[in-house]
Amino acid sequence: MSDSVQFMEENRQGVTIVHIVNQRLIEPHLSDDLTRRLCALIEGGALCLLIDMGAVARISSVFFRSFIMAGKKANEKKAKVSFCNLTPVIKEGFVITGLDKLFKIYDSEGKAMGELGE
Amino acid sequence: MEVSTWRCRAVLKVNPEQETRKWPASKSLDRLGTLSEVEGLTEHISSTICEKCGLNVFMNNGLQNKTVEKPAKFVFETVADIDHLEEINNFIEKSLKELDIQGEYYGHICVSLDEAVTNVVMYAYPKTKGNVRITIERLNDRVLMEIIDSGDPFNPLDHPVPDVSVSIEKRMIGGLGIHLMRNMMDELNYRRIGDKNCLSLVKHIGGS
Repeated sequence: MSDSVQFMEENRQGVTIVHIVNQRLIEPHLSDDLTRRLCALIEGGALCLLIDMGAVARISSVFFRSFIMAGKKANEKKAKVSFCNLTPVIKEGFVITGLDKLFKIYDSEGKAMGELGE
Repeated sequence: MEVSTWRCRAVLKVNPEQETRKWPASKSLDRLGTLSEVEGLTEHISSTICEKCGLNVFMNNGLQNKTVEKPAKFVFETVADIDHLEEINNFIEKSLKELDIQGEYYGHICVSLDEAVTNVVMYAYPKTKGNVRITIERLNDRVLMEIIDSGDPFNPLDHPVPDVSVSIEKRMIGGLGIHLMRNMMDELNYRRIGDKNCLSLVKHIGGS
């Protein structure tokens, strides 16, 4: 059992890209860790956050809370949070829970960077 | 963990050589089992509520050695805590693959079982440790699942539907799991039976 969400972070063309490495985001205790780290990035000055979900095959709704909390923080700081590379089922989960109305979702990182990158 | 559901099933007779089930032939109104046991024979049977367990059970109306294809079923029981989530997830994935459930159906069932199990792990046993029992069964074009625990009474279906249309400032963060289950499953049912929470989920696959 891991104690933290694993992700790689890079900054490119003014976009902070977070590549989540975990294949499963299921364990509820990890959602607090993800919330804290995403909010820390925004607090630290990231104005455009792109979360790459390409490696994630399964996700529990407790992590949707993390995304909503990050979205609230981004709203405070006039920043924006976007997503790319969602599986069809995860994308459907975003639609069912209305996250697709809160965040921009891109089919690929390339399409996201084409629109978000400076 | 003995659950009344299984008491109802105890009278089923299984012929292991033919891998078919033979219904009791002699008595009418013998108790056959729950819905998942008798699916496909509903034209021959009637249902009633079991006086002992409160479940909707199905009764034999005089079938004579009626045989059906043996359904495939997987059952897993373990301690309901975070340390056991990985093995629960492995069980779910392996069972669904064994049952040849793929694509969108696989995704919907994984999401719904994850949500149901997470609820048990997080809320069922606030003061003590207890078990969770997961059953996954495929019968023709249906997948029937049960999540049973002995924790505090909790009906997830009582949870109000979250307003998912409001802005980020007004968004509440709770209730999304059951909302996903409601949208991804075809049937959800909760019963408190004795000291057990019993949540059943049904997914129709390969058709409507």
